[in-house]
Formats: sequence, C-alpha cells, structure tokens
Amino acid sequence: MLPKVQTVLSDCHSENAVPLKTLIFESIWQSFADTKKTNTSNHVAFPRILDLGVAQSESFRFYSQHNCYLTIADCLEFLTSLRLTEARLTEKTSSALFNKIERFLNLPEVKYDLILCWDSLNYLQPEIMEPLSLYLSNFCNNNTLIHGFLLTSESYPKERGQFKIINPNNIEYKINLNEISQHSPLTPYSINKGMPEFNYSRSVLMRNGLQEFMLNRKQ
Amino acid sequence: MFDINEMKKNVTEKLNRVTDNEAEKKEHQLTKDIKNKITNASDTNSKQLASIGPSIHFKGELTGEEGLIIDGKVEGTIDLKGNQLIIGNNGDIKADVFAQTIIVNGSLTGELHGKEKVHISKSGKVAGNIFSPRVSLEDGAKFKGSIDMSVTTQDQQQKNNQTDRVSDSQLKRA
Repeated sequence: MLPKVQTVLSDCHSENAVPLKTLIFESIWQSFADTKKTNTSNHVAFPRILDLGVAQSESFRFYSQHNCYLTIADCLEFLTSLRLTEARLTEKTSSALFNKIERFLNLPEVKYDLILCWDSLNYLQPEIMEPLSLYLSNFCNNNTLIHGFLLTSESYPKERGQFKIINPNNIEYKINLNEISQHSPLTPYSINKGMPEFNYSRSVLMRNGLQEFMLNRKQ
Repeated sequence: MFDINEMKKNVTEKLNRVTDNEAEKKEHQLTKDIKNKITNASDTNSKQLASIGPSIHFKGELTGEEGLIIDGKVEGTIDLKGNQLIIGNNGDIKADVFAQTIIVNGSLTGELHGKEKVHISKSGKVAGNIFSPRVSLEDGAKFKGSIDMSVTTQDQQQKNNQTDRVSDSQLKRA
C-alpha cells in the first residue's frame, strides 16, 4: 500500500518542516568533489547548477561554499500554471509551449551539470513535461543530471513545498499540510515517457513517502 | 540522613544554571555589540554617501567616485568604481551596476558587478546576473538570474600570487 502524506506530518519538527536524508543528492555532490580532486588540468571544474526553484538563503550559502556557477530560474510557479488547452499534445501545441517556456526561462548558453527540479514534476500537467524536457536538453552535456522528488501517495499538499539545502545529505522540506488534494501519483514510467531526452536512472524511497530520484541525459 | 548522590546532582544542576546564565549574558552582550555596530555603520553610511531621493528619475550614465544611496528611479548604467552603492527600499533600478559593494533593498534589473560583495536584503528584488566574489541573500529576498561564484577562487589565487610576490621581494630586501 502506498504511504499517505500524513506520515510526513509525524516527521515534522516545526512549521511543517521535514528534514530529508538525501542519499542521491549527497552522492551527486561527492562525485563533483571527486572530479575536482582528479582534475589535473589547470582549469578547475566548478559545478554548474540550474535551480528551477526560488532563491533560498540557506541553499545560497551552500552553493557559495562550493563555488558553483549558479542559475536560479524561479520558474516553478510559471511551469505549474501552464495548461494545455487542447485534448492532446500536437506538434503545434508542443512548439507553442516550448516557445512559452523558452521566453520565460531565457537561460544563458551554459551546459549545466545538475538541474534541480525539486517536487515540481508532481504538480505539472503531464503534457508540459515533453516541451520542458526538450528545452532543458539544450542546456545539458552528456553527463547532466536532473534531481527531484516524487510524491508517491495519492493525497499530497495542494501547494508545492519549499526546499532548503542545509548540507548534501540534509535538505529541509517545508510543506503546508492544511490543504491536501487528491492526485494520481507520478510514476517513473510516466517520467520516462514524458521526458524522452532523459533516463530515470536512480531512486530512493524515503520513510515519509517521498521518493528521491535522479535522471541521466540519454546518450 | 543525606544522600551523597542527591547532593552531587544538586551541585551540578546549580553549576549548570550558573554557566547557562553566563552564556546568556555573553550572548546578550554580543547581540548588543552587533546591533550597535550596525546602527553606527548605517549612520556613517548615510552621512558619507550621496543620495538620490525617491522623487528623482534619472536616465543615462551615472558615474561617481563616492558612495551613493538610490531611493529613486535610475535607467542606464551606474559606475561608482571602488565605492559603495545602496539601493534603498524605494529604489527602482534598470541598469548595469559597477561598484565595490552593492546592497539591494529595493528592485534592480540588470547586471551587478560587485568588486567585493553583493548583498540582497529581504526586501530586495533582483532580476539579472551577478558577478562578484561574495554574494549573500537574506530570507525573503527575490532573485532570478545567474551567479558565477567560481570567481572567488580565481581571485584568491591572484591575491595569493600577489602576496607571494610581495613576500619574495621582502625576503630579498631583508
């Protein structure tokens, strides 16, 4: 049976903030640190991060400790507000959505190492994933990773949560549990289908029902 | 009859209370000192810095060799070289900004080049790219754009090289 969102509540410290032990996120940062150590060339490689969420002071402190090239896109509200007006995603509607995303995000010409999408995929209309995936793939190198969280229960907070990076294995997840809505939970299969440029490569199911996942760029 | 364990417990409790009070007093003094420093700093800032008031709307290239507080509207470029720029709560800037330190309390759209530091306070709203070795952001601040934080280490390497050269020359003189 799928875990209910109420189990998250039992983990709450204060103001519905849940500490998440993020094993995949930790391993990603470990791999960045290892690349830095083994890099023998004069040019030091700094991780290039694209955070699709909002700027958070704690996360900012974390990024600055790691000398990143950081882009804060602050686009999740926009993405979750996008709606497909027609019944099906056609080539025309897909390119119209792509253009909307491109206009809003307007990313610099950088190939990112890591894209953080937090819990946004759960709140997207499934048809939006395809043009988003296509747009993001333009800013990826062969090793680019996408990191996020899946909500595996059928009832979860109506609004997206706030994520603060305390350290690589501790991310604080703040949610509003007063408003819960019913959803059909997103599955790895639907992510693979919706984001054909990426592969669902690794996931860890947490005790509170969140599933931490990582996507690889398809070679 | 007395219980030696009970007495030990009482003594340690009392000791803990004393040390807790001392720690509280020290913490209180520290926060007081910090608050004083901040108010003194803002007083001296407002005395030393030139200011653009809320009713002023400026378009074009703004240059200067002294610190500046902007509470009005500025469009174009702002170049203060090695000086401080403070965007006040009412400040609305659409410009590329060059300064030693940049503090944003209002709204700013454009590129921020802070030689030393860029700080976005909780009321600040920035849309654009930041180029600075030190960037800080308060809770509640809004930011959309890119930041190259890798500048720090390159700068540090340069500084290290410079200090190495200085110490070498000092050694030679000696």
